[in-house]
Amino acid sequence: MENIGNKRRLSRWLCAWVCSLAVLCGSFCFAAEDEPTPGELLKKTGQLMKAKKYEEAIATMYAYLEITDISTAQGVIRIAQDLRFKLIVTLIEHTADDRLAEAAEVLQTYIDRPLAEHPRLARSMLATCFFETGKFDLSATAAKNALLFDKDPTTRAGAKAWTPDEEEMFSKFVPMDYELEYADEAVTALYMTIAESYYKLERWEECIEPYQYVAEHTLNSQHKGYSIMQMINAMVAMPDFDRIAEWIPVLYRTPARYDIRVNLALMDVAAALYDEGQFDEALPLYRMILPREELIAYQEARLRELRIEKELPPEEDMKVSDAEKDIFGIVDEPKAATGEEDAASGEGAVKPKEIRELEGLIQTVKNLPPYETDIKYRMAQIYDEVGRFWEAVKFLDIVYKEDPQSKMGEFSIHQIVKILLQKLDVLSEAEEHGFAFLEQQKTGLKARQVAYLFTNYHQKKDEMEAIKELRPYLDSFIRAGDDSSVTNGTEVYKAIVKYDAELYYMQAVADLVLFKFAESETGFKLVADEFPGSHQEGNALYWHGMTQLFQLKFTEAHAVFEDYAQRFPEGEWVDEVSYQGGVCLFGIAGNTQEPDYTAASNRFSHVIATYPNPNPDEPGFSSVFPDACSMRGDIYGSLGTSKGLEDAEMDYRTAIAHAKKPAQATYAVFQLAKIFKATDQYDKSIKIVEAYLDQWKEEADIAKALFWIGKSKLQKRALMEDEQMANALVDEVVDDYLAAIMEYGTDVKEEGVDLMIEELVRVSSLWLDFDKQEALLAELKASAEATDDLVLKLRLRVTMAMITKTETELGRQLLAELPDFESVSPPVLAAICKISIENKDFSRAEELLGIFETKFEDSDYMRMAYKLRSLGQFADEDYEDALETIEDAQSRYSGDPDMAWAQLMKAQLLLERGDFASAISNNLIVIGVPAWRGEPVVQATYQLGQVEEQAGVKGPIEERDKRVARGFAYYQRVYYQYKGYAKGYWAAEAYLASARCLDILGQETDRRNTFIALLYDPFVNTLPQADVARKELGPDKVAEIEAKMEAGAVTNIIITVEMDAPEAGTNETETVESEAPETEPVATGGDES
Amino acid sequence: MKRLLFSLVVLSVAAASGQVAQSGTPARLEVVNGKVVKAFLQSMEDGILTFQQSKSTRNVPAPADKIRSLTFYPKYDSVAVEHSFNEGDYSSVITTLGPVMEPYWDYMAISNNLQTAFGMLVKSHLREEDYPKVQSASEVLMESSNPDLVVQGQVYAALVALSNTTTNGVVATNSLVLAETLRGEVASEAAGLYLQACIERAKGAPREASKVVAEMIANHGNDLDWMPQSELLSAYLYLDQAITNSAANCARQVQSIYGGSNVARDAEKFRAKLPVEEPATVEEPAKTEEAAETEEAAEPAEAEENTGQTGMQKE
Repeated sequence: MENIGNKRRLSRWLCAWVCSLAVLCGSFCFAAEDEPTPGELLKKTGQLMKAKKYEEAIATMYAYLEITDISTAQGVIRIAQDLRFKLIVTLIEHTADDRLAEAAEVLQTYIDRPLAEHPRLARSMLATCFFETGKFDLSATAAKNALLFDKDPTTRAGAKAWTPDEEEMFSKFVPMDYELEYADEAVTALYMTIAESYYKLERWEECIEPYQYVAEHTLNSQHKGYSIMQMINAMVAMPDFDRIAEWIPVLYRTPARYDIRVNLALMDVAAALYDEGQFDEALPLYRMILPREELIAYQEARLRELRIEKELPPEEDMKVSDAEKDIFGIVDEPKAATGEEDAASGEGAVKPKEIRELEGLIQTVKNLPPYETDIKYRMAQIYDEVGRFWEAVKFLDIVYKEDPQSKMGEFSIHQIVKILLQKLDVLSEAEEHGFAFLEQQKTGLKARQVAYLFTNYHQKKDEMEAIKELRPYLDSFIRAGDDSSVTNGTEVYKAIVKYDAELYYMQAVADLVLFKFAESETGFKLVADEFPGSHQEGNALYWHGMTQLFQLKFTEAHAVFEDYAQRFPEGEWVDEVSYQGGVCLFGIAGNTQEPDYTAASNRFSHVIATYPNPNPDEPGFSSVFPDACSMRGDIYGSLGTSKGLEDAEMDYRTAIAHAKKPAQATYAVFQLAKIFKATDQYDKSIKIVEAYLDQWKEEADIAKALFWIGKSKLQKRALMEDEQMANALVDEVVDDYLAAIMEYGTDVKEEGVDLMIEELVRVSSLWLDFDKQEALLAELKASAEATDDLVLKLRLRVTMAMITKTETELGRQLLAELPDFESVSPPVLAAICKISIENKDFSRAEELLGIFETKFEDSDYMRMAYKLRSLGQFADEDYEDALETIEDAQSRYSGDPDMAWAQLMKAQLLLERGDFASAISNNLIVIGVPAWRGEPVVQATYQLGQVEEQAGVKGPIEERDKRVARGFAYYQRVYYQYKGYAKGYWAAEAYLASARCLDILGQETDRRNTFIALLYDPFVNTLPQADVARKELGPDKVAEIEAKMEAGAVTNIIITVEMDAPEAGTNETETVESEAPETEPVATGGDES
Repeated sequence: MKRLLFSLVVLSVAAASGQVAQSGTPARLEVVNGKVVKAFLQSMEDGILTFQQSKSTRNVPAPADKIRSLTFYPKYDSVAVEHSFNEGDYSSVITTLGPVMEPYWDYMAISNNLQTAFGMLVKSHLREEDYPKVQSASEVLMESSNPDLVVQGQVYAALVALSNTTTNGVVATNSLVLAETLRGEVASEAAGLYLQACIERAKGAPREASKVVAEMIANHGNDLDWMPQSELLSAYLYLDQAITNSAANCARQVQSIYGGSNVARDAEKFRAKLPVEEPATVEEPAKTEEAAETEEAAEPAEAEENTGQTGMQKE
């Protein structure tokens, strides 16, 4: 049985062989005469391949396949399939790329036909061919088929279906032993092909899974990185940022960055993520991007390795010695048979595709513009965005140092300074970076922007001095761009001008805040003049006017405000300038001899009429409305008529009702309180102040309000008939004041507390009996000891000193105790000023006045600081500044009773300057002010004598006697009329001055008589000036006078005096009556009548 | 059958007698020349590894730098340990790995298959502030001929020194000196910068420390050995400077960039302890150069607003 079977099989095989042979022979016979036989073709193919004549071999193989195509014989088919596979390999390996499509066709036939020895390999090759020829759809399908076939060859995946006849025929063939299944690397490669194909087709979702397979299975870390990179690329394109986040850390851990394609992709993906705000994902990608040189160096090393691997010299055009060939295992470069020549080498060599690709990629990288700085800049932006400021500064610094002059460099330094100032608040480092930049960068926008950052920083911190320190940089700027494209009129140039305007404006603001009004005035004027049409022009003009107003330059300020109103009729300050113009008119009127406030009043009326709307959101509203009401109220009030007071009250009430800021209400309330005080309407006063407290609560000036309530109560007390009730009210006020002082006295700026202290002292001296005063002092002392607050402690101490009239002593103590005057309230400062004046210690006069000016500008106690300062300046013979200080003081306090000193000193200053006429008129002003009656008038009279005396001595000779005599008359009036003032000081001085005048006039006898009169005058004869008289008269005459005084003589108004000798040489004496004073005869008789 | 039983008895007796004779830590030892020896490690002192070859009780001393690697055979679930570590569950790592590593601890200066596990264990001790253990590990590592391990040892030793604070929380002077000395000896620039930042922080100078970290990040952004903890340190430093949002954002980035690692988990824990975090500042992309350029002209408008700071602008 077995034999039979074998025989049958053998006969079947023989039949098939014979048949096929017959077919072959038939074919061969048919073509025998002029065509080679299949056998010859096969033989020739072998020869041509051996000779590396690939094109001819391919033609021969095609010829063979054509001839045998019709054969269905198993053997022929098998041979044809083998040859077909050889053809495929030749097409792929030994020809140019454009024959891959051809190879694909042959491959498909190979796959379709039976008896293929390499069906798996063919399928993967087909996928590659399709891919390489750009048929990505087909390549993906082919790769999938390859994988399917690999798992189950019976599926014949990727092959065309056989017809039933074919099926039947081929089923009879002896099946081939299938090649081995794909190795893992091959499977991964197929997945890569699928992924890459879909990626090329932009079928993002479909490419992710195969890439992921590669990433998870490949053993090549670079392939892994590349796959992840491509997945991320696809996810960005989709977009699907959530999934990206998963893969970024994995990618970051791979060395994929060394792959050129990955590096290039990293840049794109990172930029895409950055633009999407996916900073956390973009950051590691940016980090991964290798610097160009590093990447090129790495890949060139790889290229060398690859060349050696492919048996080429490591370097292009390298002359390789035999020994090196041995080392590198190099063979001669294959000459081109059919392929392209390497254009670069020109040697006609055909390079393997991998090498050509890598060289191309390296060239791509070399052709890229430098990107490292841009990457660093991007990373800096990310760090800045997420608040990693130190990292941002570091990266920006790197960028800046790479090329400080570049646009990016300038952006970086600006951003560095911005971060250091605004985010990290590190001034010193910001200055280190920024100032170095400003030192060298004088043009362009960035220098201005950096300067602006510093200005803005200091402004927010109220560091105006620091802003002023930037001025030299601003002055050194050149108004030009960084390059020639920036010309007058371009946007950048306009921005430069805008910044300059802003920076100079801020300089002026700084001066203003520092109370440097003159500098500020110049600064605002500069902005208004030099930057016409700038965004700050209107502001600068307004503040220019305001700085003039602060300097009491009413006329100039008024002109500026009018200018503003004309140029900016719709400007934001138009209501303000209208109002401030009124303030100027008020000031101008006040500087005249007979003030007429009509113009000012009209202006305030205009403001009131123009902006009557209390609603800020509606037209016709202005915040200056209440101020205008108060100012007009002041004018009405100053009229002193009952109608005026009524109108003033109405205006103040309107101001209170419309007040939008506490200060507006505060001013009007207390002005109203003053009116009520003046008109004895204490109940109204209390009511208005209490209403004010209710309305403004914590924002109100509570201490001042309490002061006024107490003061009104005390006023009420004066009208009480019941003494017990009156005393009880005093006690109540004392208690209220004490409580308020304790509560608010810790704030050095509480003016109301200082007013209460003053009032408390007044109450104590007027209405408290000894016991109550002692009790009050004890309480003050206990409170002072109990508190740790220095401000309050000092206030309590000065209150006690004022009650016990020991301020001078306290001032002395405080001068020794206090290292600085930061925590010192105005009354305490005033005490210190007082002792300084007494000691003629002017060393801290400027500081003390400065404290008042900056902290207690409205304090009444400031006048003492003015006095100290002007005395100091006078002592230093700094007459100009002294005059300025005095005028400042007078502008604040003018004719207040205790301000006579200012007028007197002003007159003296004018005398020192030789301006006799002004000196006289200023002294006469003192005499004309009712409030200054008393010692100021005495001093003014004496000073008038001085002026006349000086004018006589220094003036024209023909007027000498007349003026000296006039001076004598003033002196004489002093010691006749005012001898009791200042404990006789002025009288004594006047005696001596009179004697001096008489000496000038040559009236020696009168001169001696004046000395004699001095010694008789009990108001002055014990003063030091009397010693001058004694010396002049000599001991005998002095003894005589003393003897007479002991005998009862009290004056020499009518006395025996020495007469000038009628003739020269005589020395007689006779009794004559002294000249009576011109003004008032006060003679009381004498001993030598 | 009898013969088989007899053979088994003989083998078991031999094995038992072998166990008695061969004490030490079993290991496969590969010498630099490629020779492989089955050995029982006896000790490692002063750079000398003493071992006994299998079936020999003779102690053989060998310079550690002549040993290419050691292979140990501990039994533990390395996947579970790695998982615990990456989850930041350090106590669990210590519980599991501590006893396992005990016999191998002294030999960690030599390259071996437990190096990664040892690294996880030491880091876990550091996180759990078991400084004596870290100190011990640092001493072992500093003995190594592998420069990377020496650097690790130096950094660990310095960190232990910096943990030596007084009751006021100030680092003891001598400890600071020691840390700075070690910092000077660290051969790796990245590790050195990380350590420098730690020292600055210990000195109470978080700003300086931040600058050092920034330097480290700028110069060694792809050094994944030292970057994660450096970046996490940066988050701590922002918190030290009371810039809470920056600290939170920095920690969030660590979580994202080093996702799946223990440092990412540490960052997560750090964030959880922070005060209430304001919304992340990533709403809008940062200004690119072009964008910034177009905004330039607009900036003075900002300036106008800012003048309000001094009350110079109308209300």
